[in-house]
Amino acid sequence: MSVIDQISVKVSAVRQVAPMIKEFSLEAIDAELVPFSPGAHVVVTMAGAENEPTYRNAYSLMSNPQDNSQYRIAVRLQEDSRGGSLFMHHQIAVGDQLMISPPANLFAPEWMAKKHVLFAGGVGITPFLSYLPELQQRESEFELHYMFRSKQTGAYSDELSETLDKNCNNYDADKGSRCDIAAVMAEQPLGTHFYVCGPQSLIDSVRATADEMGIPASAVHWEEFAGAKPGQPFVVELSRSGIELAVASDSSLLETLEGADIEIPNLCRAGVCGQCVCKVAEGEVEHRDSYLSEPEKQSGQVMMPCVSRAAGERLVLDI
Amino acid sequence: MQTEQLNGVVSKPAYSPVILNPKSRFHLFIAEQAVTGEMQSLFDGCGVEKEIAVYSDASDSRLLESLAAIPLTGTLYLAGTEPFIWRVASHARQAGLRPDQIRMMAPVSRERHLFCCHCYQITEGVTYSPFICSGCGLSLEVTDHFARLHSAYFGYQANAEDCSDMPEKREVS
Ligand code: FES
Repeated sequence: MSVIDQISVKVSAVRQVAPMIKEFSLEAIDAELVPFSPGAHVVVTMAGAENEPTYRNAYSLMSNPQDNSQYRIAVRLQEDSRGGSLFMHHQIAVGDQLMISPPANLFAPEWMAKKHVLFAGGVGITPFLSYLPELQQRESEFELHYMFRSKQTGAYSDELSETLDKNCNNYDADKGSRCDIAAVMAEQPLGTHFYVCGPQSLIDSVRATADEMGIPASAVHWEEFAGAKPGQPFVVELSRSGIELAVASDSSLLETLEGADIEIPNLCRAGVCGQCVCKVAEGEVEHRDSYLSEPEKQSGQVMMPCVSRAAGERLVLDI
Repeated sequence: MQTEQLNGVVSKPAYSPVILNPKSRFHLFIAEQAVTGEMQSLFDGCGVEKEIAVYSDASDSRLLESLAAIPLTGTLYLAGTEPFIWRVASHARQAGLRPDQIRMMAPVSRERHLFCCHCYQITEGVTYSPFICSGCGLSLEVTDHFARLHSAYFGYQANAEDCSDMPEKREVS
């Protein structure tokens, strides 16, 4: 994804939709926004002031996919944020400009499914908000299981239970209500597909439950929105240009490369899409992606710089 | 050259030895005409809820009913000729089974169904190439391109440019 593809947008509304979640409406400035497919996301570029780092985060589009007058995203303030969500929460107001990538989709519904079961944790509700108009329009059978803590998250839970009625099940952990994932999954008919978006622990537990029950792995879909986690600082050398860069512990390798104006294609920034793959010339890699196969990881010849890091102090990339 | 190029398209299914899915709570075994030894021993080795049945027609209504009755945690095992097992698999997917819920044993014969791209007729019992299309009578080159939807191999006129130049007859595997 090169810089040319970027769309400049203006923030037209900001809403606090839960104690820790803000919703942003984005309108195009000079172009028209394109319709997108349910489950799509955009990468938002947040250019800080002079000498401030630029952040890029992927956010699911939560507005109606047919509505091209605006896109909406919801951002949860992350306590251990490396910057992006803090920036959105504290620096962005109505009228501000942002750059976004065109929508890309790595989490589309499987329309062959006989039934869709959606598990959302906290701000993980967002991709499902773009599913709902189409699920309803197609009269697909579905149920939503929405887990949150009303003291922090839980945006849209009232509207959802009102409009979806018994298709929506809310679980507010702050009121002691928990979702029995195994019980939900055990009841489902042949042809059901499961979708999970939320914290890693929720994704892991849905996948583990499916595996234990003998539910086919290909019927379980998930979206990780965690992005890069911090790690040890290291030095990266680019063998073709001889450039050397220091990767700080709270920056990803991809962000460091972008900071030096080296554009690497990327769609998800979470180690799932495969776009950002780089060739490794030297050095051990700590693989953290879910894209490369085990043999590819072991070969040590390729890596996904959006999430993976050096295992040692130095890495040489063949770029 | 064309021939080689098209035959270079290898979508011919590869079959690996079938084992029981240890996670499944229900196992359905379907065989064409007769239960094979391999299937019988799998069936005998299966300790949880299971059923076995033999059909000659992949679209038999009782077969379709039993596919629809498989639970989400079930696994389907298929034995028979290639066209039969793929047709049953396609009904199974219609019923909602995922590809990873369907396990196919290596076909019991190497006879192919051949799809004619000129008249769309499917010719059965094909063991060599070129083969005369039972629909339009053209001599068809038999490729290794397997169309999962039709459970048949793609065939096209073998000597379209020069009808005196007929490729040598060869067995297909
Ligand atoms: S950007 Fe998708 S894997 Fe790195």
